[in-house]
Amino acid sequence: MAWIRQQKPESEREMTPSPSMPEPARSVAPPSPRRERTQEAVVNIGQSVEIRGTLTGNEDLTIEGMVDGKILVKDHALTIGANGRITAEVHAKTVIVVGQVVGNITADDRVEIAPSGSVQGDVRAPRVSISDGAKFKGSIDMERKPGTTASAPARVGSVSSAIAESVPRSASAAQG
Amino acid sequence: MKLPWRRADDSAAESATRPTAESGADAGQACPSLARVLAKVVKAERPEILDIGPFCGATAVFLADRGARVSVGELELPLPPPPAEDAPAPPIHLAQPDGRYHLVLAWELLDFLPPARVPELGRELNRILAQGGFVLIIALADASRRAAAPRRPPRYRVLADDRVAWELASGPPLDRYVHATREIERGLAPLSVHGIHLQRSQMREVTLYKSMG
Repeated sequence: MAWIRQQKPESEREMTPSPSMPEPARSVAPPSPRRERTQEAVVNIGQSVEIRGTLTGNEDLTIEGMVDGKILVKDHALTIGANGRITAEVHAKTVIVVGQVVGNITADDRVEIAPSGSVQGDVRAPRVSISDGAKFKGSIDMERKPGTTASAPARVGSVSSAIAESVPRSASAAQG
Repeated sequence: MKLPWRRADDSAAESATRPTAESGADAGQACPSLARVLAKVVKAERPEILDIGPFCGATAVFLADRGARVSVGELELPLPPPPAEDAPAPPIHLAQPDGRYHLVLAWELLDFLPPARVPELGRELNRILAQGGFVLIIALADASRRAAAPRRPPRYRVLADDRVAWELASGPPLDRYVHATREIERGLAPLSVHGIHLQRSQMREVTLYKSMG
């Protein structure tokens, strides 16, 4: 039986510094390419920006300004920031509401309404979480698409986690 | 032997492991009437549930995850006063469409309505309920008149099909009324009483239904 040791290519071999070789400065390592890509993929719409019409995109989007119309970022996350004021139909993969939304929200993955968030409209998503203090008027529909449904135990888990998030331990009081 | 309460010489570490009142409160209280109506309602395809009590996001999410479409339309209290002293008060109106809901959760709202206005709520509930739909009300029992001190309507959090917890919302306290069971039955007609469950806390869980046809 022959033992074959595969030779690593030159680029993957560990560089062991010889005593004569100066050690490279580790603190000035360049940022990883993945991190750069993430930063590039988030687009911010600033507080002073007003948009009327349809807003579409293929990147994650954070809105701090005003949008009146329709927002479609189907495969990406949409965050309505604390200063965001949206009067629009919204469709995204994930929607996080910290500001105000008037209009229906559809998400393919989940909708989160933060304590400072306000939604007036219908929410449709497989997973929804509404924090204590959030304002909401409308309806919630968590109908899951066939094939993408979570199993029964996972559904129970998702509910209990949503409750755990929003139960203020000191404030809740049971009766009787 | 360790005592279950703290003594003056208990260490902080020992007292930290002791169960607190808050952790017991988080477990909530039993609500068998909710379990009973949910068992009936969730059998329907895409049942419609309306919560008209103070809004609780966790309750809406819990019910939606049970397969229902959950609407939130809080009945704001106190009711608006009459525009003039001799003018009639504006009638109670729920903004929801006719005949839509399989279950309406009114929680303790009835306790904050004067008896004369209960029939108005009954008519509105009857209007928005689907045939065979249910209403769940939690009301102070007749024997608990002493406990009817003013307060805000509490926010009910559904923890499980048969468990709820509640917390008082902030704001000025409102007068509470204790309605006799027969007053509830008459006031909410044509809805029919489906069941009454008296809790040890002297709260009644009253379920009513809209008869078919």
